[in-house]
Amino acid sequence: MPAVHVDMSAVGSVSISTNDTDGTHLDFDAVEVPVLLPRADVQAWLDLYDPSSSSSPLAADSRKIARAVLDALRLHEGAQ
Amino acid sequence: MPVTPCFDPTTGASGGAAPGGATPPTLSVSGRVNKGAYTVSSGARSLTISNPDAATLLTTVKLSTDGSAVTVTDSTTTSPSWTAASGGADGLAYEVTVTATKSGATAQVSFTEAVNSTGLLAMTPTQVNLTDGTWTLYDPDSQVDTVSYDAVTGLHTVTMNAGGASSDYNPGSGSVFRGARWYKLLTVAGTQVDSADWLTVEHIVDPTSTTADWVQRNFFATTTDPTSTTNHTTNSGLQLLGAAWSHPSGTEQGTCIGNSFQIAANALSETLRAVALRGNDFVGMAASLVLKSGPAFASATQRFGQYTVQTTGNVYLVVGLGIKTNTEVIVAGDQTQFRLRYVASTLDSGTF
Repeated sequence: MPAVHVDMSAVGSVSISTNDTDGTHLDFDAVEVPVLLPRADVQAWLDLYDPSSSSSPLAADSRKIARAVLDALRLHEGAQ
Repeated sequence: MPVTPCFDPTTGASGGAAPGGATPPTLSVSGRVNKGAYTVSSGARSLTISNPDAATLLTTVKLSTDGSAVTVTDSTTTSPSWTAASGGADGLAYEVTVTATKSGATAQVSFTEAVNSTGLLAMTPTQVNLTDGTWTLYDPDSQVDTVSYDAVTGLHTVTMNAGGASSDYNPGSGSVFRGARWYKLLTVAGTQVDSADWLTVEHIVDPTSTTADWVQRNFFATTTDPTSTTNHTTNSGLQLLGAAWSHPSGTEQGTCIGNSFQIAANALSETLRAVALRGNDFVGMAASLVLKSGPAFASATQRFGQYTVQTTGNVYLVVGLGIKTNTEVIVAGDQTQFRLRYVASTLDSGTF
């Protein structure tokens, strides 16, 4: 399975206004969690995702990204 | 009746007799003669004036490059003072005028002080005074009632008319921005900066969170189209690049590019330093370092984009006021305060 990491030094609370992947303008207070995908694994991640399929990506693949993000969030928020 | 000019050969002071023939007061400035030219170090400047006739004194200082007024502390006393910015590698020049008036007769000592720059070492930022006559207010919907400037603290106090309550006044929402903004042409060592120039601006902002009566989102940035009422990151309008701050919810300070703002919240934040890089007709990036008491590190942000400048040509400094949430109402009489400084420099394009 391809790897995923978080740039923990750059995780922070911000007031952000920017654009989402679909062009929607976002404007709210947020915790910013920069996700790092090794360049060598980018194609592997893309191969795991079919945006036209409602069951894609697989739960196990999704979980890997979700856990990386949520672990970073727990650290930032001081959760045990 | 015309004023008769006179000249004091001892002090060099010039002046004019009053219509009734009153003699101009005696006036001299320690270490200075009328029409003299001097070289000084940047930073704190002061004069010692001899005024034996107890005339009414006034000392004015202006920047030679654009005529903008420099704030003079104790300008009506015998010991006026001001701050001379270093202005980067080439330094700056200031025109100083001391005037003494008594019984309708005047005496005057005027001279020029060129700043002996220390290059890029320990540069003194230029203080912004939005009321000095070099800034233009563009306020399409009359959001601003008054603006004042405190020469001692450097703080601006802006009092607003009723307004807000629309994304049109939120610089970080949508592509329309009709909020009030002040702007002026940006010069470096007397030369107008063009969007093709490789420009670095350090924007320094001291917002006063205790006087921020509405939930606001403000910016101190550069632009090439200061009176545009659109603000999109990539393809139109202001294409802001610089420092941004918002209130309340503690003191929030950060950066902006176009309509994209990133502002870090830290209730202890005091001073925002945001460095913005642009050039070659591109809007580039801005990064901030926010300081709290000490000074100590409080937070940091960055925005970048490498967007093509849509209106090429002159670069302007711009200071804008807006709302942070689209429903925020500005009540008539609401106020905000802030102090602004900056250092701007360009690189030789042949460097690249």
